[in-house]
Amino acid sequence: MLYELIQPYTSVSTVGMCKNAGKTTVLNELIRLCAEHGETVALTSVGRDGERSDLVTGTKKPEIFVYSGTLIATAADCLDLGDVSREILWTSGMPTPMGEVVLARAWSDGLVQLAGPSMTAQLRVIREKMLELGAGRVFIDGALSRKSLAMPAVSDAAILSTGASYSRDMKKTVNDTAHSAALMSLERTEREDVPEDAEQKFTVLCGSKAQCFELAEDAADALRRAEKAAVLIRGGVTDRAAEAFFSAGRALSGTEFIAEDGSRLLLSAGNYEKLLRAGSRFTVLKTTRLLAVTVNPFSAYGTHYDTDAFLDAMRRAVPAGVPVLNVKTKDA
Amino acid sequence: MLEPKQLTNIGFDHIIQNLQPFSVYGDELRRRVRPYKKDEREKLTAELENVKLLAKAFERDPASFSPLARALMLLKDIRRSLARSRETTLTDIELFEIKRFLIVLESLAAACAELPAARELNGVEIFPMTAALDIVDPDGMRAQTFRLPDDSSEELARIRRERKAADIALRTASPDEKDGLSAKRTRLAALEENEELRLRGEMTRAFAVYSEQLGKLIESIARLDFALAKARLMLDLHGCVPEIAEEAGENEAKLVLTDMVNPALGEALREKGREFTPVSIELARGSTVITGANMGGKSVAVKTLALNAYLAMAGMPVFAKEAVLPMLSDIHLLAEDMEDSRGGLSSFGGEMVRFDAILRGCSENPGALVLLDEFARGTNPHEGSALVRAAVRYFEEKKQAFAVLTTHFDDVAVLAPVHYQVMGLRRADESALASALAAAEERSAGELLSRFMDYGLYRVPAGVNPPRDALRICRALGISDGFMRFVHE
Repeated sequence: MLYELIQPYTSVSTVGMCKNAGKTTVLNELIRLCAEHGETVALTSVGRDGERSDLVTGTKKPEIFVYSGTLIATAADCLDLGDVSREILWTSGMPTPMGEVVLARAWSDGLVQLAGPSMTAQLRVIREKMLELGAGRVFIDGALSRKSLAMPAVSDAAILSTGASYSRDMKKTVNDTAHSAALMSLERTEREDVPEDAEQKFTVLCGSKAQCFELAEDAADALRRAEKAAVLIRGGVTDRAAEAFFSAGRALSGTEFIAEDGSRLLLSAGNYEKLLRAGSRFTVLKTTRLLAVTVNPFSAYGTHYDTDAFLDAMRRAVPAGVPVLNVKTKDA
Repeated sequence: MLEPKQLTNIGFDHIIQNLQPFSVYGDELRRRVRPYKKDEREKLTAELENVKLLAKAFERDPASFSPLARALMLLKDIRRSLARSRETTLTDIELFEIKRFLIVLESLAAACAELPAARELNGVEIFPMTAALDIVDPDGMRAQTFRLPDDSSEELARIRRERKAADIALRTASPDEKDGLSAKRTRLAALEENEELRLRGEMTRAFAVYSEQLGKLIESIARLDFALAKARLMLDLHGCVPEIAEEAGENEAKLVLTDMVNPALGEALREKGREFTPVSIELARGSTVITGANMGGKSVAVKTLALNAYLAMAGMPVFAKEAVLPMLSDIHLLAEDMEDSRGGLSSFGGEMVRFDAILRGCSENPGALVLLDEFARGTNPHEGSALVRAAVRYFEEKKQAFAVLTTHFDDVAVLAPVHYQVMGLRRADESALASALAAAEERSAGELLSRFMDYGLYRVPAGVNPPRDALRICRALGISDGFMRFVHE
């Protein structure tokens, strides 16, 4: 099923709610499926996260298995941690703590360690270069935080992995995963009056009027005097901003908050829900396609979930139309 | 020599930021640019000749430089790997960079061969290093990638064959067979890595023989690129290559700068809809005095002089119609708007301490350019004037330096053999000015006044006193009549 899901998309990223959520399993499975279908794939990752910090010390073994012909963009030092036979194709000039990001082609099957660039603009350059060098599809191993959820700027679609390692409390895992899934499934705004080059943090759109503000408090003030308004928010949408908007009170009903993309919504699930309950809704300028949520009922810390109960709860909690898969079983 | 803050202030940083070499190597020279020392005249003139040659050729046919520019832009910095090649085994990434460099070098050398100007440059020799390239590209395919070919050794070919077979077997293996095959795959990967390491070691040692020659060639590339950047900037901003006069006796040495401009200040003026008035000056060892009205541009003239003298000494084009300079041992600038109150001294105290350091510098290293802008302005006019007069006489008598003093104290100019004036309002049509000012808003009066100013420097006979424009300016600015009556009484 995974292979059918990714079919329409040239670049797909994998995102995990936590370590051991099964993100790498998903990635390996995607690579294997593409190899079976004779596709040339390319791999890179978003910078470096907690999981990858171990690899400088060499305590973490590379665990992504690629096939001959695969393109890999990773930091120079990480290239040596893998064991594929390789050809150096391109050096990017993009620095990372583990050396410059280098693009190589695998001439054998084998293990690789990914540590790509951390900036969106750089990832975009890498993606284009890999497509130019003959990759049919690009997989981006995403980070372990909501902060870079799926990065719509660089990938057309995403797969979110979650599992029992996230929390001992299954309910919390399900709720938080569902919140992330909801953010990744936000619709594109239908408004046509959204300015593309807004420089200030907040733009309040009301009727034919557009007012710009640096402070959330000022934007909330303008919102209070408006009806059926929309607020375009550049960059991150924080709890601080959300709390400022609460002061707009009843004016929140019918307000549309427009973020650049789902990954910019950094506010807590609680505040997000609160704004929704007040009658506002969230949209984005750039959408990501959330292809699936994968679950791993086994925890690295010993508290496993009941597989069926977990799958069931997750299926009920995620946005409609998003399949929930257990990658370890056949339905993947 | 001028301090970093002063270099920013006189507009030197602006010039450096506008220089755009194509390669990392040229850019490094740009960032490190410094004046040549007094005994480096030959090096300086060689550099300036290069700029002149390139500017001439570039002006005639800029398109002919495109292949050269393209090649320069593709070069990456490989100097670290060059040094490492003499000590250790290079990684495949380093060999990749070297191979790419040497491939680009082939086209760079071809581009240079097509440019007569590039072949005539002093100290620039760019040639292909095909023998070195053959070492890092053993199969001679000139592919823009790096991988040791299978036939680098029989051993490597054998390992890679076995590895391929193991890969294929592993893909279709049953779960029982997988563990054994995986272990075999891992063992073969290690063997391949070892054999590649050995082969890269051989390759590195063979290449290292050329590393020093390549290092020198890179210096040539840097010089060519940097000189070309200077030539392009010179053409863009209508500058010229200064002539560096040969060593002359202290009475013959001359510093001539005709119609100088200051690009940074010029740009700022253009934004306000005004133009920079070119200034010309001719200096001999001894004292030269510049006088002129307030708001008249004396400081601008000094900064422009400092900038262009510094540029010439740094092997850069100058922004003037014509420039002849001797090798200067140093350039000193003492100006109010560049002071900071260091060490708790008052601004006057600070100025005098620095002035003393300049005097010492001048007697230790004769042949410096000394620029004193409104020297001793911070004390009472009586003593201030005495200090300026003393400075004029001191520099004139010692003839150790080219000293330029701006002042509006009376009785100073008469002591200097050379006296320039900034014209100021002197030639302005009084009635036109009055009616323009009457029509202007109060806030823009200063702006308007500057349009009636003549910022040109004019040489006047010795013995002429500075213009007395202060009261005229007050009147023109419409300072309250009530007050002006008191002034006249």
